[in-house]
Amino acid sequence: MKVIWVEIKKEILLLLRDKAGLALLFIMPTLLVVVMTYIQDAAFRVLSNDKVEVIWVDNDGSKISNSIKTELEASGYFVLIDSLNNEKLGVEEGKELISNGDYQVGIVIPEDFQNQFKGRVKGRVDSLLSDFGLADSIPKKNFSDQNITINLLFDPLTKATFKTSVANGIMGLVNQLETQISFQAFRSKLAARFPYNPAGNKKMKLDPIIQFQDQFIFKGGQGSIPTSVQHNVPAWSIFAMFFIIVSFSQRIVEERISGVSKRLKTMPANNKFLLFGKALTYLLISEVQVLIILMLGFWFMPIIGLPALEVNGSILLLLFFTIPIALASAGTAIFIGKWSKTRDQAASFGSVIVIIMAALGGIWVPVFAMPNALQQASQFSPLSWALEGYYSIIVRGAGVSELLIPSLILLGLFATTFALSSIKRN
Amino acid sequence: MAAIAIKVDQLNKVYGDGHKALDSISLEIETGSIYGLLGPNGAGKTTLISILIGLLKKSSGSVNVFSENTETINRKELQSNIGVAPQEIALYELLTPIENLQYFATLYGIGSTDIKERSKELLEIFGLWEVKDKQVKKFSGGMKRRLNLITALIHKPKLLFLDEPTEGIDVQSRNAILEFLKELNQKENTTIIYTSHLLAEAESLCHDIMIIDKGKKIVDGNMSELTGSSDKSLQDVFLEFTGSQYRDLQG
Repeated sequence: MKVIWVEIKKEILLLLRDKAGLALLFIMPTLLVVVMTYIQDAAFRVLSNDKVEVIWVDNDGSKISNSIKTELEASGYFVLIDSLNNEKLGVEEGKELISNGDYQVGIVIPEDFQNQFKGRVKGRVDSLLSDFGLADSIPKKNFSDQNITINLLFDPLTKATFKTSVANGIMGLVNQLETQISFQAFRSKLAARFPYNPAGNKKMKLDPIIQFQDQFIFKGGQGSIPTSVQHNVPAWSIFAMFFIIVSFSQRIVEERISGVSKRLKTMPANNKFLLFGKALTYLLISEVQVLIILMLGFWFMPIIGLPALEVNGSILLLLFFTIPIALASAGTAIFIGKWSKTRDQAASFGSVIVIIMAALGGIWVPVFAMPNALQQASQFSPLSWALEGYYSIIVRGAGVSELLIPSLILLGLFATTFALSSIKRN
Repeated sequence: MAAIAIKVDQLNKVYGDGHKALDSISLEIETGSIYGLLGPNGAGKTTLISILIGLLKKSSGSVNVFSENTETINRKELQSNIGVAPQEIALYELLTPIENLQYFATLYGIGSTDIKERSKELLEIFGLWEVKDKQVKKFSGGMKRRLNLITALIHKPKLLFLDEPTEGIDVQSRNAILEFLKELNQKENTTIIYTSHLLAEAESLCHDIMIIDKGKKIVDGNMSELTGSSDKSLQDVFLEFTGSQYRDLQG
């Protein structure tokens, strides 16, 4: 025990004297969590809560095009920009604003839109009535069968998901309006054919018959919708914990290059205890890192306009589950440090392996969104198990039993890397 | 006749790539002597010392330390009795001398009171007490070398291995180290095994010397046995046995 304690004391002293190392351990993860959460929260808001500003170029200026505009604005998702500096926007100005990246979306209503639209609707209604022998005369085909095109303009840098969701939103509203106008025309024709019907000229409003409702299903039936903070705080905390590998493995190489490990091998202290002391030091550091990041989530995030972190499960359990994560990270660092010949080798190998494991573990892109082969491969990333455990506690309010498998896998990684490192030492 | 501290018999070391680093080395080092291990680059000095201090496994032969075979000896007991000052500055540069000594001494199982007393004694002898609270990284090469040696002495070892302890340091530091070693040897009867490229230094310090080359023992004995009755210096003897060609690429 004394050997482990003296090793921890020495490692902490070394860390406290290494200003760059301290920054890497505590300032870098803090910045990472805040910046990444802020960026992802902004993207999340664009797709969900905030209204999208849309360039509106109306070359028709008709009643129907105004109805479309009114419906889009009434939807609550869009703010239509039809003029800048009190000047009505034309197609070219709209295109320029979008190509400059000032706006991401634009809608262009073509000239003669209302006439063509009404003509198409009239043609359809007449044709339908004629099919049932209700037309006064055989309808003349005055209008083209070609679709009327409303152009949707997008900034090429717009993400596909954003483009699709905005386009679907606009098309849904316009289709609803088209149906409504078509039905109204049909009703008017029937009213003309059956003038004795008192409901003939009644205005009708067609609400959608089928509605979709999003529901989040929580364990135990209760919970709140995960926020960007709940997604990002665990993900980047884990990334930071594993990023320790880079500095930790270099420190181990440094010990060997300086001759200290040679000296240690000639001393009557058990080298495995020394290694374990190092691992425990980094466990302590990881716990402090997580505590700092949790405090950031609780108190700092709301100050900068982000949602506060809500932990649906036990914070104590979260700190407890940090133990296997930190040990898995420390074990990997010791392994890389022991098997690397130079500091550069440890730094390069350490950082590359952390980034690959983070990518596979779902830190940047959720595992479910990955191709099948990568989803299978993610099982081999300790970050995936770590993230699964953290999400379980923070979002799903999981208990000890749900954390058993991730904990065992992470501890298994620690045991394996630690044993392989000990072999190298002997 | 003095007791034997180290007895090596027909020691061989062949590395995985087939390179024979040690070839049937036999030697005896008396307790309380200063034994110089000399040889050109790549001669096998470091391999021999590494086997003696337990860092490297031998291929064949036997090694006895204080009359006990190193294969059956209690390793912890052996390690408690040996001190090693490697060629490298094997210290934590971000720690102070006191912190370094506290760390290494604790690993030797020394109590905290003894650590304080012994650290003060050694740091004063080597002129480092005034800078005991400064980080080692701020030290000169000579100061680091002295602290490197102090660390090997903190637990009062019976057997001291020094791998080029005066490499690259100023004359004052070298003189302080050599004088201390002579005094330590005389007062404490500490057996010292010492390697160096500085033949004049070895000549003034060592009681017995072995010249090793290409893994083989070339010659050993005390100074008068090596130089005979002639006026030859140790360097003359060294060059006579090992030749004057460069050896840098053969290590």
